[in-house]
Amino acid sequence: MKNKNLAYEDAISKLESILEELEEDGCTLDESIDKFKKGIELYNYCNNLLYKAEGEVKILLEDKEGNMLDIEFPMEG
Amino acid sequence: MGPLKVSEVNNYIKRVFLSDMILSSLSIEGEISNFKHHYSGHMYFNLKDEKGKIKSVMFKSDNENLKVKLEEGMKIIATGYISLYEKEGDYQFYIRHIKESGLGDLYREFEELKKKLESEGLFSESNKKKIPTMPKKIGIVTSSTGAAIRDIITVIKRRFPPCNILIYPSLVQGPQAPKEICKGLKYLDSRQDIDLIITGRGGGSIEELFAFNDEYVARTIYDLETPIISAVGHETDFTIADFVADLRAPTPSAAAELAVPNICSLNNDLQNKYNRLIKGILQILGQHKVRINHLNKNLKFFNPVNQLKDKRQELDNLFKDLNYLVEKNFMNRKSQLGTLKNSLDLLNPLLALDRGYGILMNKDGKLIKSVENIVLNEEIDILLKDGQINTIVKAIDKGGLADEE
Repeated sequence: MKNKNLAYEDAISKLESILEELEEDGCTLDESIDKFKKGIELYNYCNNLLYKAEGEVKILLEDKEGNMLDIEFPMEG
Repeated sequence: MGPLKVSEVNNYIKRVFLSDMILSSLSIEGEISNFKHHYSGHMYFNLKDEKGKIKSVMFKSDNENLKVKLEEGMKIIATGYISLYEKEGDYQFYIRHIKESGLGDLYREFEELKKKLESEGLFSESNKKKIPTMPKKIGIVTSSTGAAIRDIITVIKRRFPPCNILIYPSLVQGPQAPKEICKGLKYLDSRQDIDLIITGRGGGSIEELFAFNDEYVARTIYDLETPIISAVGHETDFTIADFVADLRAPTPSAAAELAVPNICSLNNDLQNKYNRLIKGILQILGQHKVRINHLNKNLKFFNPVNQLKDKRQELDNLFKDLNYLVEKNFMNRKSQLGTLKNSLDLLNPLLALDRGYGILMNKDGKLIKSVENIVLNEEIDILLKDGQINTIVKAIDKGGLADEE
């Protein structure tokens, strides 16, 4: 994917417009297949954003020099 | 020491009271009970708490300037002195001033600050930033030990697991709280990786929520570049921070709900789009397949080999036609010929021989058709069916057959 920082919502709206074009069916077969490929890429990209990784929970600690450190936050139970 | 008179004792006690550092000037917090506003203008009532009560009096000269209207059950802070009512031997609280206890002042300060900040535009809707729909990392300023942070983390993890959380631990009550909260807000705001801030705490008394009614906190929230959700106390608690924040959540859990989307509905939507994608391309491919089949049929139809076959068949048909025509023509001719032959047969003199007629010819082989052509004693031939007779003419009678009758 070229645009690594594409926001989820933007990717979704791109996907939606590809779907609309595809469903309207005014394209040549080559164009349609191109669109389909792009749609699958966007789908994978979004799916990845949702399920790629569990988010981290960290807490800030100030060390003696006054630097802020991100420390793993202990969630019991 | 001999016995004292009652009045002497009361007078002594009164003097002890009045010379006491504490009793001679003090404030007492309590609830009004048995309130009586005497026609003389003096007020008599008890101040009480869960464990005890004190008889109290407020003279007309003091209560004339009261700002609050006293009533049964009201909680007040009264200032005055303790003295003895010698006639009854009762000690009483002589009240000079009254103010509504605690809450009243806090509410007044709250309302004043709210009005001031509102007039400065700190609550204006047009200054509120949009809350991102899918924050990657949320910064939270709150106590690291309270229920609030647990609730927020639990809800965020349940609704949207990929979201990162960074906690700035802060006091949320007490005199140091506003300063710490502001420091945390500014720190998180300065980081580039935080795209939403939540600050708040669980429920508590109005005094405990005080830090979120602090002017410094309000101004700090207003100055943030990062969108912020406030989540202080319960649904019914409104703080200044709530009015300044870009979004007010009724509770910390609700703040988490508002901060992140629900991954299930996102996923449903995404899978739905995926299905549409597959269905769409299959439909397009199907249409093209139909078109290709159609073209293929057309191509077969116009294939020269097939055309050749057609032509050959055409040729065969023509040949058949030709044959038929020739035959028909031949048959026509044949039957015509038959007819002609019949006509010819009718005219054939030889046929007359069959019927018993004979043909007369002279020596030269000429037909003799009339007696005029014959002379007496001429030698003639008679041609019969099965031979010829040579004879001599013996007589000649002129006249036709008709004449004989």
